[in-house]
Amino acid sequence: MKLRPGFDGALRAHLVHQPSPILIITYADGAELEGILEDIAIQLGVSARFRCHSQLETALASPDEVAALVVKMAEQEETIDRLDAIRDRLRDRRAPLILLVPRGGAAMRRLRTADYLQSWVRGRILDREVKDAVNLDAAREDFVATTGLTPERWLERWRAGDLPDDPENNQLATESLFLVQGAE
Amino acid sequence: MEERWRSLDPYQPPPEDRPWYVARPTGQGVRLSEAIQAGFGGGRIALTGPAGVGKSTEILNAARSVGEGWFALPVLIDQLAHVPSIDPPTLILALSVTVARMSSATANARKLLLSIVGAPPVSVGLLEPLNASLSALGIVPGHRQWGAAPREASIPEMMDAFDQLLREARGVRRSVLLVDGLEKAGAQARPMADLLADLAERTSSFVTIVLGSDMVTGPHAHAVVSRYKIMELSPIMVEGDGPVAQAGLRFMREIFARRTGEDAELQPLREVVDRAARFSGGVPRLFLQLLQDAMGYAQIASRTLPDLTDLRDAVRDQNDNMRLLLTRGDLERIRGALGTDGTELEADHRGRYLTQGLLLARRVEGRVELVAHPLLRPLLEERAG
Repeated sequence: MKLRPGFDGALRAHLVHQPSPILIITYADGAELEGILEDIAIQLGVSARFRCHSQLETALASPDEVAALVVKMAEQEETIDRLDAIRDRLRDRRAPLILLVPRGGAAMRRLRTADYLQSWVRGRILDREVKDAVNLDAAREDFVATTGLTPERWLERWRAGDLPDDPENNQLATESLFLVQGAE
Repeated sequence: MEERWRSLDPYQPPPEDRPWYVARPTGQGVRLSEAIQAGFGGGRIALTGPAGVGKSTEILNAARSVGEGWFALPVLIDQLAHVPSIDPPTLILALSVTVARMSSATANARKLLLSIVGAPPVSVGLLEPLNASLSALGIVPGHRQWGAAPREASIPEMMDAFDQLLREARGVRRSVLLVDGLEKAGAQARPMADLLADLAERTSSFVTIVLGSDMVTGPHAHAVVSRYKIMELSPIMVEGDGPVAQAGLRFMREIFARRTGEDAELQPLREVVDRAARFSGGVPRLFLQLLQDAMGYAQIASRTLPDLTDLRDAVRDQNDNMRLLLTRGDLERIRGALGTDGTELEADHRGRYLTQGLLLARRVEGRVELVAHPLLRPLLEERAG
């Protein structure tokens, strides 16, 4: 049992551990965008080659380098269309192209009908609002499904010393506390 | 371990130097190489099916395995030209360059190619990869007309030159043109399909093209259907416990095992792999994506192999993204089409839902029935409640 990874966890999974040729990250404003670029740099670490771009062509030019493309407002739809058409050329990338687009903006709307690009990026569109939203109901259901007990009942048994003091139960103790406190 | 899982690479069809190709289970769709050898559709086949179902894999495998008596010409058109604005000269040039590269561009082939490049004006700006291919063959594109608009009158000259080029390359062998990527050509797909059928006739070749579902159904499909035999590549059946689903699961396990070298039969990995197969709706690319993502989450938790909670996280990413990518009215339309053959849907919607794999076409007792993709089902229930 573990709580669902948030934005940073998902970013690390898709960017560092099992990188895809393309990721999409959405943002609301300049401050959030700046924070996301910092997160990318942190997850990649100092040794990775990472550059920020404003033009698709320059972002595509270095397949060995993580390229963050901040898509200009006037080029949102055009960029999605172009990537939809040339999707298979991204196969040769050895480091991800990260598309940064406004949340709910024209690029995301166009992506809905970009059939071929969509089949590559589905599951790889990271939205901090969605990833970091704490869904206590879902987490509680997961807890019950995994342990067979409600977090409150599990915590009672843990405190009574009825459960073994092993790493897994220590993790469950943290999660049950989180769920019990979240419900209060 | 991490590196082995990176070779899951959902975005690559099986590479030539590795035995990654797994033949589709018997009875679950025609294998393309066998269909070509059997002269299916009089030698003209339009391959269709949802994104990620294995169309490119079948094309590449057909090129490799069609047999010694054949000259197979696989052309990844979207890697050579900007397909939404592709025109006849660009298409013929792309085919010609591919032939020339495969036949090591003998002096005669180079001369013929030069006649193609020099004779007709080819639209500029679409051709950077083609330019690079020509340069690799030592050919500098004709500077005279390069950039001017195409002239219809020049197309027969190009077709003649391509015919000569192909005859020289294939010798006494039969030839088959295998053109992948045309499904991304939008409005240009139909005229290009027509041109390829003409080229096949002119060069006495077989031809297989890849088209989107929207091209082969609906009111405008006649032009394609009249010239090509439609071959639908359906998702692999993995639902239920019957022998067909078991064969489907074995097929998916084998794809996974060939790519990673892992033993997919060993528990508890087998349970993760089988569940990923079922969540994927039998779409191999999605199956590989789910496993790759699950492995990414396992690595965050410092595990060497993913467990079911990692797969759950990967599935939820897919669910979240599906929510983002649905348009107003999609869920209602999809709900209304379940269990039908989808003819009541507008052609554009039907084409999009099938291409994106939101709806899967299943053949039940001889008729087509649409079912919702397994990843979409929770959303359908959620919105209905």
